[in-house]
Amino acid sequence: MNLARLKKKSYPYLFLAPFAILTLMFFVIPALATLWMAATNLDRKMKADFIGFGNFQRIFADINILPIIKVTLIYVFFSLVLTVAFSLLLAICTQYLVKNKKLGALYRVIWLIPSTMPGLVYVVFWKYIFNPTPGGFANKIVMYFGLEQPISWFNDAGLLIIIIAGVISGASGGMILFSASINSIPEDVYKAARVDGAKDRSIIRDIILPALKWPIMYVTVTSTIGLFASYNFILLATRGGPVVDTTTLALYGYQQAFNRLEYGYGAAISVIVVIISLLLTLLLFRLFDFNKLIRPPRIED
Amino acid sequence: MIKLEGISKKFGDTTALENVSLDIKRGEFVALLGPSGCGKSTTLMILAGLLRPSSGQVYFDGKMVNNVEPKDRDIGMVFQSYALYPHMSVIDNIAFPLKQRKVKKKERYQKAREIAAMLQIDQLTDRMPSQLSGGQQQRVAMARALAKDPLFLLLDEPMSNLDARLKVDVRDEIRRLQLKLGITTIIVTHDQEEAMAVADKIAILQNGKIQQYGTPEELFMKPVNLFVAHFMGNPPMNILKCDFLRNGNERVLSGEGFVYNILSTKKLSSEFKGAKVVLGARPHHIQISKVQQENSIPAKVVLVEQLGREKLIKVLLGDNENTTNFIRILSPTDLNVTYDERVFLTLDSEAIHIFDEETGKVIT
Repeated sequence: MNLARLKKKSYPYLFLAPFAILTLMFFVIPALATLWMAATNLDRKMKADFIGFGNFQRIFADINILPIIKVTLIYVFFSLVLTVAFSLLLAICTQYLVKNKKLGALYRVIWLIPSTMPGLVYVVFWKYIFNPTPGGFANKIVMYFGLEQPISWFNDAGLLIIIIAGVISGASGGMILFSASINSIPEDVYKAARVDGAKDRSIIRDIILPALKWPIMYVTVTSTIGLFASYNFILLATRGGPVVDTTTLALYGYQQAFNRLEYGYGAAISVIVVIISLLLTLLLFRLFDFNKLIRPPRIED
Repeated sequence: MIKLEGISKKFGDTTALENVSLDIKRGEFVALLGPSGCGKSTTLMILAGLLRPSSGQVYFDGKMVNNVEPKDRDIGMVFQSYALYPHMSVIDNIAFPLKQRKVKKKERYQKAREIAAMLQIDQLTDRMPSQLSGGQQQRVAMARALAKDPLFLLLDEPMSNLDARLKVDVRDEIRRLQLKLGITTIIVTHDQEEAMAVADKIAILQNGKIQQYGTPEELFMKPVNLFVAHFMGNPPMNILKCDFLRNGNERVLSGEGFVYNILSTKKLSSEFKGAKVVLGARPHHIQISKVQQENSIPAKVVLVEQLGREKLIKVLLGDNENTTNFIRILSPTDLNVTYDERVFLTLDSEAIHIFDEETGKVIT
């Protein structure tokens, strides 16, 4: 009897166990290992001595760190604002302003293509367009219009290209989420608004945007975290160059750890990345009034 | 004044409305009544300007408004789902139409509060729609529709999401408000009782056509066809198929399990030459007696339901056990009949309706 009850009670835990173990092995332990590594001077000799906050002191003394933080903030801020704005624009256009539902859906599918491309292919595509030689697509165009010398796009405007490429492939996720939310607004509400005299501008401002508050917050928070941690596109496109002009904090951490094999120092940088994105996320929650969103309704007669 | 002239509406291959014409006078309360899919909501959407008619004209006060946008039609509308703006408080919902008219902030909130007080929701003005009960949401929707003092009020099944008891209160309230404001109102409903209770006139629709347009009494007492006769009234009118026999001066109805002699004073449409008719008799126009009388119909009681004020009795017509023709009768509670009892029915010959079976049109 007691054994049977114990068995029944233990079922959920048994079902959860495999995932708990996987999470522990591949997430919790590496995270703790990173924290530990950040407090050591582990490097190519693979000998780890505990140095406390030594790595962090080194970060503040690093002459590269200020320009890198500046690049990171510019990259995250503009990518974030443009991604959210662009996905909102796409969602409102394809879901509300374009009255033909099939046409809107087709347009959204087209916008999904960049995000379905493997990262490497996507980078190759952009590298072809902005190839610094006269054979590059952008250079062919500007030289056709009379420019004598080819432009070294990635050297001159690397960060801008990286942001644009990221926005174009990143906007589709938000677009899908936003257009689903717009679609879930009942048809009667639009009809009521039309009877009440609302024009498109007022419908977008007073009805569609408030309905998107929660998805906008979700996209903003996940994008912030994602942008702070991402470095793959930049690594493949410019390797952070020229000098550190396109190096973000996450990429710098990667380079310290895997190019210069300064594991301890790299880990310390990535801890800083985590702390910054955590603080920003909390700030965003505050900004979006998260507590209000999860407040229970009051219903009575 | 509203005038619909030869309105038709097609959605692809299906015809939702066919040649609908309707006159609504200022201050009238008109119900568009019919089963689902009859075209009543489509008619309302055309009145609101949310749908364009495929053909025909809509006139408001003598002006053709076919191409006038909903916002310029001076209408207030309540939707079945209420369609409150979920992210606005009650007061902002009510003030929204005024905001769209660029009424100054102070003025529009004052007006919104007045309307809220009139509908007794002034203590709820800071709530969000999700924090309101169904009845409260309904009031907010009414308040929003009335906020801009519209010329016409359109109500699309405004009570179908309320429970039965609340419905009676709300419909009284709507009627009271309509009379007080004298606002021309059109309500769409599938509930004949609701339509009878609130409306000055009822347009009853089926298959996209207006079957009959008149006062509730007219529709109830003088239905023009079988559909109207059956739709109006609860429990519905009893419908019996029968043969029409002419025998000199005598006119006899003969159906399964019954023979009924129409009294000679009853006039029938002279156009009718056929032999197949349908006899219609309302449940309260049939008397039950335990003794046989002249021209009475024998029947057997199969069900007695106590409704409180009266009894609903279901009887099987005829002498033998093989008939399947049954009718419902409303009778006073003091009548004592029991299951399986043999009884005799007499019809009030002035109150019966006879319809041509082929066309469904009334011939009495």
